[in-house]
Amino acid sequence: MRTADLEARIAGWSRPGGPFDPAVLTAHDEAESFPAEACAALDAWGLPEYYVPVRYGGRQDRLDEFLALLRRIAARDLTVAVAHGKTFLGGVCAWVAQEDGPADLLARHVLAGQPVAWGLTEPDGGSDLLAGSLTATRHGSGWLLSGRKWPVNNATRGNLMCVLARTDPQGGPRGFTVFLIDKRATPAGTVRPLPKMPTHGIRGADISGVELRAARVPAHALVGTVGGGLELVLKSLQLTRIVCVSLSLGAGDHALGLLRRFLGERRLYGRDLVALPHVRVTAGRAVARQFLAEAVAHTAARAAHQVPEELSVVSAVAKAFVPTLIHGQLRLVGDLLGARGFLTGVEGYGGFAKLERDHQVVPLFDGSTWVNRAGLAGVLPLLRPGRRATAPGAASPVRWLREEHRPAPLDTRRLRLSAPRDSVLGALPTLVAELTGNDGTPGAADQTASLARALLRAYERLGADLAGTRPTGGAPSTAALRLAERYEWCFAGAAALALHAARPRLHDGPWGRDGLWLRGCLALVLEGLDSGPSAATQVYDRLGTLLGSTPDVPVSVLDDTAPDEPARDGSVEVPAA
Amino acid sequence: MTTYGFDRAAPSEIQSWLVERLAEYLPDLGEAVDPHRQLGEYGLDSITVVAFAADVEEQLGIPVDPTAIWDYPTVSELAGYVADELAGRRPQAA
Ligand SMILES: Cc1cc2nc3c(=O)[nH]c(=O)nc-3n(C[C@H](O)[C@H](O)[C@H](O)COP(=O)(O)OP(=O)(O)OC[C@H]3O[C@@H](n4cnc5c(N)ncnc54)[C@H](O)[C@@H]3O)c2cc1C
Repeated sequence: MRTADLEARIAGWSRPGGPFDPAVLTAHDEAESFPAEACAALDAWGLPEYYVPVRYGGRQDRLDEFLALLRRIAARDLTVAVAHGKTFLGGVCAWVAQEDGPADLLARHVLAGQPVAWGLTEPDGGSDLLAGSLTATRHGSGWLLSGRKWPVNNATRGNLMCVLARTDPQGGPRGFTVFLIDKRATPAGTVRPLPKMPTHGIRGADISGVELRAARVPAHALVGTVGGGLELVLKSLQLTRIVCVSLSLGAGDHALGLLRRFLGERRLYGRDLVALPHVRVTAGRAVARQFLAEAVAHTAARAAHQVPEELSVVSAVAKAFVPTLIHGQLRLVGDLLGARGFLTGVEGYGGFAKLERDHQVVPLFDGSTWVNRAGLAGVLPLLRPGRRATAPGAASPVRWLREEHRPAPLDTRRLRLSAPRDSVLGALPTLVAELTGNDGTPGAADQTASLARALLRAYERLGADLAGTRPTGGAPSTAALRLAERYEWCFAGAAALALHAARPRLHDGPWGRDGLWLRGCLALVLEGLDSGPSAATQVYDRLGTLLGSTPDVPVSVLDDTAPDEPARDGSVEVPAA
Repeated sequence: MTTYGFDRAAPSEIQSWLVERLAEYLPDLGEAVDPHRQLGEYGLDSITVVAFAADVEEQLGIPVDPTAIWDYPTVSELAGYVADELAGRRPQAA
């Protein structure tokens, strides 16, 4: 993986006067101007190659790597990550449609550094994709497009935009189609950019829109099939929602870096700040949130390759859960930073307020937390524990979460709109049963096992509460949304347990010894499930103490800067036909 | 083993069963569901379709992606699809 290389480059670019110099980026934020230098540096490094799958000539062959790259950028500046990473979202429909569309053409543009926008939202539509009124009608061999897409990231800077258009006046799930528009190839005066919108966060990003007035596009602008647009977009969103959570991971990295520095510098009452128990415990909670977010994000990224038919659930959980978890983490960090979290001119800490503002967009775009949670709520009865015995031929996530496991190529033909099962959460009973008592000292191992058993009980309670429910249509009740939220917490706990089981390396080192990181995650999960364990405070206290005392140890359970190695275990999976 | 309240070899029985299922999603509909009318005309939104597909899948033990309902948008067409699926596969334990 080239993550380490990118990280080193960004560190260099962050020196005074460099394209990632915080002063330069802050100036862009204040002036609401696009961070063009930083985006150009990423272009020169070759980031666009990662927006294009290997089969179309790019370097994108594993989502976990892509998440790691975008996370590194987000950890420096979330606006840049959103502004540049948007091209992944813009292109994904073409990759998912495969040969039914202009994938080769698009690949050439992206590899040449062209930004691509993704226009789904319309002024009156919001989250309701079926309300879209931008219309495409046949015209000769091509199409005429009329209507507006707004608000859209990169809508003005991007010459290319993938849009969802109504092709059947009646609308409906087979009434929409995706088109790739190349603005340069449309007749003059038929495509008009809508003005950049001032925003609360990511102020430098190009958040604008586009208006099409009988804009003529050629037949080869069609992506996928006529009427296949909604299905294509919903499947593409399963991938982009997983990618989006890397923005939250990066925000968490940034915040924890500031907190760590603060803990190292700040003295109060003649002592280091970490002498205050409340500070240690709060810092430890923030660290545990980062680990749990990593476990979910990484599991989701691997799941995309391994169990793509389950992604409707996995991606909804990831997108609803991780940005919310990190939003809470930023609150905790902001609390601890005190005035320095609020003042924007204090050297080194001024970035926190910007970061917090920038992150607020992550839970709302690409399907808000509530849109994802509502989607999950609708199908929960189908995911009820024990409803299906074991998945036919499904490998445990422990197998595909191993460090050396090389993910199978992403097979977008296996994506489905409703998941037949959830192998991650389905593995929970086995993961708990197989927790060995021999990692760590006996006391710690017992505590880990007891937290894991408490999670299993909470999961069984969820199962019992789901037993009486049936799939329902329309807007889910508040009670159903709370069930979905409990489902997310259980899923997160299972992901953490699976990661622990898959990676012996995580049983050691400052965070791993005695299973500390895992206990932090389980404690958070149990709190989220209203069964907060009495041991939680002590676990957070240790995590917080470590944050302050080990300045050189990355706050991460993922070692995604390791060089790419061929699979040593021969575990290249052959996707089921 | 899934048990059905109908003969799964008979598409007409599957059709009546689907009509009853669907009626549960349309509590405000004052009439019987017409098997030849487009489901969209009944105001079935996209989340409802996903839920309805999940429901049919759950009760019959065969995979029914929401896209099947999009592609067979009347009860009559859907019954034909479901009958084919049931004939082609043994139901899984539910
Ligand atoms: C900075 C920025 C960049 C953006 N970039 C793009 C882009 O590049 N391309 C693009 O297409 N769009 C983009 N969007 C639009 C974004 O995806 C929309 O904000 C989103 O579609 C939701 O629309 P809305 O905000 O109008 O909320 P609404 O849809 O009006 O929702 C209002 C509220 O209802 C909740 N809600 C909606 N549906 C449900 C449900 N089913 N169950 C429960 N609660 C629900 C929402 O969570 C929200 O709280 C961007 C938005 C912003 C702010």
